Amino acid sequence: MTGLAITQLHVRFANGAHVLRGIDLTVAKGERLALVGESGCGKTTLIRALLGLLEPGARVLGQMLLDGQEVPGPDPRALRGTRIGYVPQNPLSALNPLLPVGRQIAEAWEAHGRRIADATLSAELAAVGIADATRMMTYRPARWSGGMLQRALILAATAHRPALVMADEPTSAVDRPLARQMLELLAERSGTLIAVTHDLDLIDGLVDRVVVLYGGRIVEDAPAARFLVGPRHPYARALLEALPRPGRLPRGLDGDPPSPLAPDAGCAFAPRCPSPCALAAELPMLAEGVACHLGTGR
Amino acid sequence: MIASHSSARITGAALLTLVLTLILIGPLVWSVSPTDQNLMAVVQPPSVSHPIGTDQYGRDLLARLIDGGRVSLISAVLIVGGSLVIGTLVGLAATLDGIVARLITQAIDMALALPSLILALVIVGALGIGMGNLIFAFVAVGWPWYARLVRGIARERLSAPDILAARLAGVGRLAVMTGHVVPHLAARLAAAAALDLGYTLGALAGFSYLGLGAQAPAAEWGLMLRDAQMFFTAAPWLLIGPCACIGAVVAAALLLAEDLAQTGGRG
Repeated sequence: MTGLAITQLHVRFANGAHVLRGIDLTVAKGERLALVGESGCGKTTLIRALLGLLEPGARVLGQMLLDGQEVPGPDPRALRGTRIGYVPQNPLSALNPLLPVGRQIAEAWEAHGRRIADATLSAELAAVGIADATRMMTYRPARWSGGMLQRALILAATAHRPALVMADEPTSAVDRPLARQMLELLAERSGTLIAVTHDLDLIDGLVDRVVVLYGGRIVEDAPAARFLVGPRHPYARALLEALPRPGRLPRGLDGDPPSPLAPDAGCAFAPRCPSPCALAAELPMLAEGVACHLGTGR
Repeated sequence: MIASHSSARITGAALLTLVLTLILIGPLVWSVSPTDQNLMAVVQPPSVSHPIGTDQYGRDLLARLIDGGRVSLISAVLIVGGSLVIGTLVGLAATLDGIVARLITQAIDMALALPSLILALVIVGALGIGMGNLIFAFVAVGWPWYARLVRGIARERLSAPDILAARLAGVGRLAVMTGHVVPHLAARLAAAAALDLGYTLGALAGFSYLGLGAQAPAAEWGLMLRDAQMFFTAAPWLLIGPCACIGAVVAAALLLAEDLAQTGGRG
């Protein structure tokens, strides 16, 4: 089968933190997916597990297949950048401050034994919207704007036309009008895309599916069009209500996200859930795209 | 902070230029032999034929100062350079994962726990007296300081977001080390090395003074001080040359190190 298939993925760190607690996720070839969740929910760990670059001592259980082949596989370095592209979180800190940007973007090619001529690189940069690319590529990151750096990083991540692009909050460090442009550029340049994002108001029309991660588990997995008007999991509803909208104040969510050190004890969202639930002590399973006792109609 | 950036840099550079001019240009202008004895003119005060006087064998002090400076400075540069290269390689190796890196880290800590000057003394004692052995001994006790510094800077760098981004793009460990870690060592290592150069020069003079470095009739700043000691109440000018030169290099090193530490080699 083509695309990404993750089955029962568990990741446990050396300190005992159980960060991912059984992720089942299939992404078809060409599908664009938004992965939503607050910090600490396991989004970045999922990306690093796929690319085979977890912290030393982390244990991985489960199966990850990309186009039918196991990832990260025995040689994860060969897969990084070529079959799975990665767009880092904050473009301002994602490049070495001492080196010219052009040299660092060229590393995306050189890391896999390919040379790229300056003229080619300049043309590639111009193609992602960098004006005056020949001159800009000789400057250090400090002379670039956040938006321009993000464009350059999107170019680097998609240099080898990877089967899958993973973007770690590609919109968090740029202004909102730019953020939509970044997502459009990403969607245009990648085949299959998993974009970790909080900007639910920006993904409309750009992604096919929204997957919500909470406490290391998927709690909702829904088509984007349906999700944006009627999310079913109470946490997903809270996320949408936390967005600023004209005419009403954004509503926050009380309480803290669950600790990855805590053992599994029923519904992880129960302590923060606005609708008290008699079944909170039971672990809710993902059924009909939502992991909530109420959502499944029990 | 000793002085403002620019004044520290200018003073340091001026002092260093002065000493280097003496050592490099000196032999061209002052062609008197540093080892020719003249027992008719021992311990002479400064005069036209001997601008800073003569020593107890009637040897020209200016010629000995110039000749000795070359030995002292070359030795100090070799010691600092050797310690820096070995320390950097060991320090980088100590940042890798796994048991070998842990053993290397422990070896660095153990080496640092030994008193370095006494250890250098033991090494010279075991290998025999001489400038070559002294340089070896100083490198043998000097590298752990650099290794610890490099390990600290490199570990900090390796957890930076841009390193993670590079690794996730497929850049290998070696390329990350050479391309993204080593360039960040330069400014801080240069500052540490400048400081160490001054310290090493002083320590070398001390060892030569004790008779464990350069051997007579060779000239060396520490050795000149040792010779001068016997006569310094009667002939204090014997001390001026070597003291001023050692002092100038140490001061220049301190000032330049300060400047490098403040500006990181830029600005």
